Amino acid sequence: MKAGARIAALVALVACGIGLILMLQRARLQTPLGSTLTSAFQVVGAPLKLADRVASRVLPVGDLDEKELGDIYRASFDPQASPPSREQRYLDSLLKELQPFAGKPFPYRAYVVDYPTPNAMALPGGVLLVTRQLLTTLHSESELVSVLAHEMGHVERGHCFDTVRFELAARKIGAEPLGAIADLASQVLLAHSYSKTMEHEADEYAFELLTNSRYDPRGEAAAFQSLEQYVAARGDRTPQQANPLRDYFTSHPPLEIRANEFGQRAHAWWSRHAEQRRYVGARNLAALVALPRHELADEWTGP
Amino acid sequence: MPENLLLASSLGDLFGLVVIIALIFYARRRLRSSQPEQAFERHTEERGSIESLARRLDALESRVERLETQAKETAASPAPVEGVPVAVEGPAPAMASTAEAAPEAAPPEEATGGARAARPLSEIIGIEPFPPPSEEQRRVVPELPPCESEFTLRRRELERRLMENWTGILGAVVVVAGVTFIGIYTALRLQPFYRFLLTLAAAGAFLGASRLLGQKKAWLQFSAWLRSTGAAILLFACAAAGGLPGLGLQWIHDPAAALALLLAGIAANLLIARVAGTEVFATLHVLLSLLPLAIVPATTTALAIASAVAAFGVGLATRGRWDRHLAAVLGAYALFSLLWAAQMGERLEPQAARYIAAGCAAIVFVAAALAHYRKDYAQPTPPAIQLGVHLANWGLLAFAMFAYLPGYLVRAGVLLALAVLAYRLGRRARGLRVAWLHQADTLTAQGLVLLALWTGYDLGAGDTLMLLIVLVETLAFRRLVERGDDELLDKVADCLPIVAAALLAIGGAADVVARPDDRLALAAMLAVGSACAVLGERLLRSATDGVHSAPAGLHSREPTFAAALAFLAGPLLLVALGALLEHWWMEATSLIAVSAILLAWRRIGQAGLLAATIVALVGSHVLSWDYLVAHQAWTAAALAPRMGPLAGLAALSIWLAGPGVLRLVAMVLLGADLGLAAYLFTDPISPLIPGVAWLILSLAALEVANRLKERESLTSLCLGYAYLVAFATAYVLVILQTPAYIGTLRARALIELFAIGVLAYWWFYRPRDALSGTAAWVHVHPLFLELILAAIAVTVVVEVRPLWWAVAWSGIALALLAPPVERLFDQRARLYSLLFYWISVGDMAVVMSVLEVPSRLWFEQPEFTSLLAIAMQVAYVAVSHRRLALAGLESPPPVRFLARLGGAVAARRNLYVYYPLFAGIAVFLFWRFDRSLLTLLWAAEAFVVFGLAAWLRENQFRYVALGGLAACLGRLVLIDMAEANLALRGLVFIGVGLLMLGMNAIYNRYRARFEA
Repeated sequence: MKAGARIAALVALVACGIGLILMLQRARLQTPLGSTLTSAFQVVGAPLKLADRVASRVLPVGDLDEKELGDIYRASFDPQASPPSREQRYLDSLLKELQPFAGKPFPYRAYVVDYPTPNAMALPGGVLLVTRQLLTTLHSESELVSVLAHEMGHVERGHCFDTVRFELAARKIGAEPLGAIADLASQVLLAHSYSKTMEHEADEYAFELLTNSRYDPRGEAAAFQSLEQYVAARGDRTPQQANPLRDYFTSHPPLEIRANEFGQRAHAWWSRHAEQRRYVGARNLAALVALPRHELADEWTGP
Repeated sequence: MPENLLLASSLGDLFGLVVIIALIFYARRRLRSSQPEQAFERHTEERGSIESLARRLDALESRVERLETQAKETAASPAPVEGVPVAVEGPAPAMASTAEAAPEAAPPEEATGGARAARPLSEIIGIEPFPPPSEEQRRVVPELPPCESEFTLRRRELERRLMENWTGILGAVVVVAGVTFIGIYTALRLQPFYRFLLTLAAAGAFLGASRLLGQKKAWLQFSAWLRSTGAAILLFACAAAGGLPGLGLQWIHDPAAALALLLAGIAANLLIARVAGTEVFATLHVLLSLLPLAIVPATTTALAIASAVAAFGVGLATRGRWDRHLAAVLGAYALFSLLWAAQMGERLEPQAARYIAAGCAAIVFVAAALAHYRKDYAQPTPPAIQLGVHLANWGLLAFAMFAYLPGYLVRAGVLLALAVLAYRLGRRARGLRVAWLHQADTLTAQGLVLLALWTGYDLGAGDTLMLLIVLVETLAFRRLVERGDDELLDKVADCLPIVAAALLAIGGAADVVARPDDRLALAAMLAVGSACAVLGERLLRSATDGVHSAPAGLHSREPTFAAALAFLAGPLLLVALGALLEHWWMEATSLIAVSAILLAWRRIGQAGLLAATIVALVGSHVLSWDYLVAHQAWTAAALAPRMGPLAGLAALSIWLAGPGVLRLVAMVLLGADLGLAAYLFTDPISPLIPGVAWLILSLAALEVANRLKERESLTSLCLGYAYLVAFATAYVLVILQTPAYIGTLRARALIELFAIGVLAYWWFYRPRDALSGTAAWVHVHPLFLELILAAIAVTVVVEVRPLWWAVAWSGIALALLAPPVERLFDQRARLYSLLFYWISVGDMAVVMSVLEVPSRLWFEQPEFTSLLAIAMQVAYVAVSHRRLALAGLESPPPVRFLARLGGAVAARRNLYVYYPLFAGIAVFLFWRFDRSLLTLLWAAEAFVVFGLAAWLRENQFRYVALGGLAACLGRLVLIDMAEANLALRGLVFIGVGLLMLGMNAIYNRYRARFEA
């Protein structure tokens, strides 16, 4: 590089750097945690997850096998949901709203289960479980939809299937114990590395679904904040500084980071879609009546 | 346990002890006698050899005589007849065989008539004959005793040993055992008083026997042992009569009477110690005399008696140079004193008791000192034990004064007076040229002063103050001891200030932690200590060492002690600064104090001071950093007064240090200060800023490195690297966790782009020769290409949605293959383009094939982005056919393996470049699209491959395309024919047919290409 060009490049770079600093100083952007390694592990988990997916593709199992497994789960949970409770009817209405976004050939259904903490989980084949406590912890229907979308994301992105693929394959070829062992081994070896990656993928899926639905994209960040409040009320606080071992073995990214990221993304989305109106549905959740069945005018919101 | 059983048990133990002692004596005897025994065995073996040799000699002589006789007889006999074998002349055979063959093989001359006189046999057989022994010799040679067997010799030796030694020893032991048994038997049946008398009788028997045997010279030693035994039994009886518990001998219940009796026993023993005349017996009886006094209740009377006994025992040492005796007596007395003091406990409180105890110790000391301050000990180099006993005597007195004397003023006064006395005695010994006494007394004086100083704790002085006073005192001692007068004293006087300064640093640090309220005072004391260390360095220099004209480096040869003391100035100052951490002016103080040491080094030029400066400089920075980081967040107003002086100190050090290691250290510190300042000032505003600031600082460091020389340039370069590492750390720990939107802009993405720009600046930078030749540049700089690509890859993963990853990877691969990019970067960018291409294909085949998105927008569908990626991958394949020249790739040393990888890819290009794409697309189509359209899509892929074959003139692709088409046809017939949807079936058939026609047209149009 010639001297003149070098000096010009140096000046330009320093100017860019100073400009960036000034911009950051003006915006006074803060990070959710002092320092953490979970984000780094989440990025590192991406190639591991890729390798794991290659293994999934190689096995002679597919969506139909997963659907069969889902049918078994559904058959075991259906009696609990019959006759359907108010909560169950509410969830059925919401799933009906979300089903069109699904790409996999499963009939999604969410079941209410009794469990002391607010939580939700996904099983292979489109079976979602939602604890009754979650319905009281969240504050709006958009938050609940984001949670359901997150669980759907696990199914759509193949996370549930990946966890049982060896067992499915073994069942197919008649060697079940081997499959169970392989599943266990894969979970032990890989689970901690890419579970945060999978959670982030599911979060991404939920956010995309929200932006493509009638609900407020801020619902996802709000759901994380509601869960944060619940955790804080129990006296648990996320450590503010990084710890390699703890950050590695944590299965989920910290709620603060998730709320921060998707709150900012929702804010950016609203900046681009200021003309739109989206549904929050706080009273819908309280009344357990879904938007498709009962639309409230004051639940529509803007940027 | 009954009393008699206890007694029996005790006596049994005594018997066992006797047997053990006997065995020890046996072992020692055996050790001593092993040498004469070996000599005797050697003598026996030699004697056997001589006898054997003599016998063989006799046999040989008789045989030679016989042969000579036979030879003479042969010479006198008639000539032999013809045909008789004649001996052939040759080398002389072995003596025996020649002698045997001689009668049959006569010499030819003799055989032919003996014209010449017959030669002697000795000449014939080639050896000189043994001359016959003269009469005189026969007389001189003694008659050898008859040879005895080995067994006989050993038996006689055993007999001799038994007779000479063991009969006596074993006999004595057996007798003692027998007497003991009888004594026990009898004692169990008698009243205590009679038992006492019986014991006295036993003692008297021993003493009487000793008296009788002592008249004969041969029994003197045995007599002495008997006498000692008798005296010991007497003392035992006297002690037990007055109240030793459990022995059944107590018959006196009045303490005064018991003490009188005990004193009588002790007096008897001391008398025997006096008359014994040997060191061993004297020691034994003095120690025996002290033993019962340790058992009786602790009183000042007991201590006085024990001291008198010890003094008497020590006095015995004046009879010769009994240093072992002195050591034993003083040691026993010291133990006694400790035991006595422990038993006294609170009873020692009355001052009179304390004075008595101190006085008793003084008496013993004076007695021992009188023994040593005699002409007998006036040799310059005594044995080590002599010096040890002398020091122990003084030490005993010193600790007695310290422990017993009441009140710190009295204690300190007495100790100081003793120190003066010892010093004066040492000076006198020096005048008399008694070197060891001079050493011992001078060292004693120093020890006494230190002990006197120790009393300062009673005044409430803390560790730091005490150690500071000790440091000053040791420096005074150094001044007092004349250099070169005595080597040992010189070394001790040199070492003491160093030890004191080190202890001051350690104790001061402990005080700073433990006494937060006194930190200002502690800092002042430690600063004084540091100054003392600097000033003391001059004292420790030897007379021949002058002041250096120029500052000395770390590796210069300096007096070790002076350098060590000077070095300790650094840690002392550091601890002092550590005490001031909570004050905002700490950094300003460190600027002044460390600069002062630095200037002192510049003036004095002492390597130790240089090390001290480095320690103080680095340590003060580290302390400040730790404090500032631990007490975040700082306002700019609070931080500036701290960071300013800190950076100023580093800058001043760079300026003052001159070329050398100190300047390099200061450069590193200044760089760290700037980096830390950037962090502390900006982190409270936004945690995302420090990373950006560090990137800018890395550019500054690079530019500075290019303008400096040699090691300074290298240091600045390494600082630049360190800033980049700091940014990477900040990115991983802080920046990565938030997208940091500013409106619709992602600040994180902007930071990533800025980082890539900075890395690119580093990559394109062409420094001057001074920098480009350094190892740090040669080995690290080539890797900036890899760093840039890694940064780009991370940015893609973090900022781009997975839906677009395959497109992004393909785009990067294509960009890296572009000629301008290759010109700007390096040849190996081609290989990395291939790597990104593989990632793109893999991502498309594995991720995109099953990726589900909830979006309804056409451009956000995986099918669209995948097809876009495939198009770019095909473009890459087309471009790579001409531009991907991987054979002979040049790679720098750190990534040399890339050249081999490039060669391998170039050798099997189709396998590594094209077929992954074909297979990836096939897999993607299989997973992504409906099975009913699969034949059509695969046929389309075969068509594309066929077109590529024509374009690239690659016949192998044509075969692959045709093979694929054949497979599609098979699937069309076997699977698609069963498709229920007729329209779809028709569509597939039409599509496949059109594709086949297209392929046919291409083939006919470009036949020449295929056939070429």
